Amino acid sequence: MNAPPPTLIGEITAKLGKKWSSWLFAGLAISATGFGVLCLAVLLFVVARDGLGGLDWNFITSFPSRKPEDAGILAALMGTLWVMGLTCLFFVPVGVGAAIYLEEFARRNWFTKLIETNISTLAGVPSVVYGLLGLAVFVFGMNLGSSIVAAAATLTLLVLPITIVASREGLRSVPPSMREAAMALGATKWQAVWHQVLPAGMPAVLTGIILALGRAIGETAPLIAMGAFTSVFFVPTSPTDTFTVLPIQIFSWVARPLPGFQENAASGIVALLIVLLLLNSVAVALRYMYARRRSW
Amino acid sequence: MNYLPLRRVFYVVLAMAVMAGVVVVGACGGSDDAGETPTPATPAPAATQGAPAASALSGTIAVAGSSTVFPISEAVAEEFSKANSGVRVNVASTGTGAGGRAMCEEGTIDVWNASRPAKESELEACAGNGIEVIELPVAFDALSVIVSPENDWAPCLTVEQLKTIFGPESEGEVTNWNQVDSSFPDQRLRIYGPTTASGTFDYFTEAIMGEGGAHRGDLDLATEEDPLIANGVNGTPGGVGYFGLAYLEQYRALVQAVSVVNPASGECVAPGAESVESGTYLPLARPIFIYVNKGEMESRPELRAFADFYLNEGPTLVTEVGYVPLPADVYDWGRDRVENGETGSIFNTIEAGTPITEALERVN
Repeated sequence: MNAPPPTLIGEITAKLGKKWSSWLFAGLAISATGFGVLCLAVLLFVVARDGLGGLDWNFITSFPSRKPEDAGILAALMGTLWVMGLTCLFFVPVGVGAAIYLEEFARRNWFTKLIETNISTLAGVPSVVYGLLGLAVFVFGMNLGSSIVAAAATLTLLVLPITIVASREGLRSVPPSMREAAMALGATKWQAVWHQVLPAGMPAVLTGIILALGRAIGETAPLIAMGAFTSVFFVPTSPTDTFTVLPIQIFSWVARPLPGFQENAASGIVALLIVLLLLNSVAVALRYMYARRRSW
Repeated sequence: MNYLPLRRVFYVVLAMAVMAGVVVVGACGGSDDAGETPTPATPAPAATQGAPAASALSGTIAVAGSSTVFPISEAVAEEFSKANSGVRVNVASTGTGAGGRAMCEEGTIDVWNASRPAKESELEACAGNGIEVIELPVAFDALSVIVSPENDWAPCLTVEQLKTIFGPESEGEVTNWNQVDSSFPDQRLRIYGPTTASGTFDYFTEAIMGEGGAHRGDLDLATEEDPLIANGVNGTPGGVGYFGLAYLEQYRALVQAVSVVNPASGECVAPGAESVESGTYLPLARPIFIYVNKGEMESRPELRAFADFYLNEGPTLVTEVGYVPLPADVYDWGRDRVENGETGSIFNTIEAGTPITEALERVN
């Protein structure tokens, strides 16, 4: 019998004893978690300190301005809501639909494997590449111009891989016995998926949607690449209108020399966080609802 | 196992409450120092504030291009939107080159912001797509060379000396002020400047080296953040750098502005609104432009109104956003070009550093 090769963990355990080494590991894990939370807290603190003071009704209902005290986010806020709304309409059905197909219906063969590999690769593609794709396909190819609908389509491509991967995980977590039970009672495969598997997997699917929304709402690079404007002096009224979004407005303010614009940027970040939290809270509420209905 | 017990929900709520608490504490901390950084007083708004003119104009105007011209176009768009609430204006800061492509190749914009005259190749691309542009100079952009407040040997530099400091041949060779001029002290030369991506870099190299892009590569710091250039120069006795004149006022406390010897008169000229306007601060002051799509302008009254507004309100707004207005007759000349629909570029045949009034005389 060969003795197991000495490992770092093994040595530490041998020196400290099992109890102490377990505490040591717990301590390391806690500090790793604490580091992330602390960074987030500091970030929120700094942004709120600089930005909350400037976040008033005037700021929300004004267009951009050369004077920091007159500048507001109306066009950017409405642009963000338009783009996110349309993006949701596009990516939720397509993403969840693709996940259902791949997880429940697709046969395991080289073709589905090819699709799966592609999806995981796409999840890692830098976002500006999607912007260029959007520019070529939606802005020029489909002649949509630098419009809200072209932006929503571009962001949909960007978040689809995340949504599909997360939704598949959710569906996979539903025990096979549920499908079998439904089909044993005479349900078709489709009925089993629609009435049993999907509601049961919904909390995890919604988590994926939250992640995707968080990614999409903060994106600047792909939208700039596809020709989104910086300063817009009107509220968009249709999906074919040109637009700007909050991250672009914030980025534009950060780059300016007058100190008042830095405060505007901070206020814009707070507004962006609030919009994101509001969108997410809808998903969180839905997730909670679905989670309560589950009873296995 | 995915079951979400009430206790977990409680923790989520607790975590959110803690975050909200942090935000509120931050807000309270913020109200204390809010008074310390008053926003600089801005001059009274342009003449358009007053009774909003009832205007029947409508439509959408797209403006894009140079980040240097962007603040001016944004200010004009802001006031124009107030006066003409039916017209929807949007402005993008994409860079002069990208603006030219949007104007001439893609045909997606109506007004092109350009920090340099249109190139012949760009005008050809426009012509190939049946687009004609009207060139309108709208303001002066000027650069200022800065040194550390401790620098008492270089209040004024010649173009030759600037070439020695920043030129490509000096890379790795010129590392001390006494190599720039033998009367200068033995002081390590430290160079701060913008990156190759900026219009400021392009303009500086054209005006000083006579060739766009010719610049030494061994800068101590190359950055697009003007505060970093100012702070870097401030912190090192042998520091030297350059940035847009618009930023100089803001950093007067940190850095010294260097006068530049006008190659024509041989006199030291300090950077500032007066010397730029009088045409003596050369070669580091240049006109910047907008190009308006002529065909669109003639068929769309709102675009014509925007061009007129730009030329009429421009001089006031240009000052407000930190640039130097052109002499009044240059705006008159622009109005004539709009009125008569004269297209093409005149300024792309004139070398950088020519006084603008002289340039206009030459073409008339």
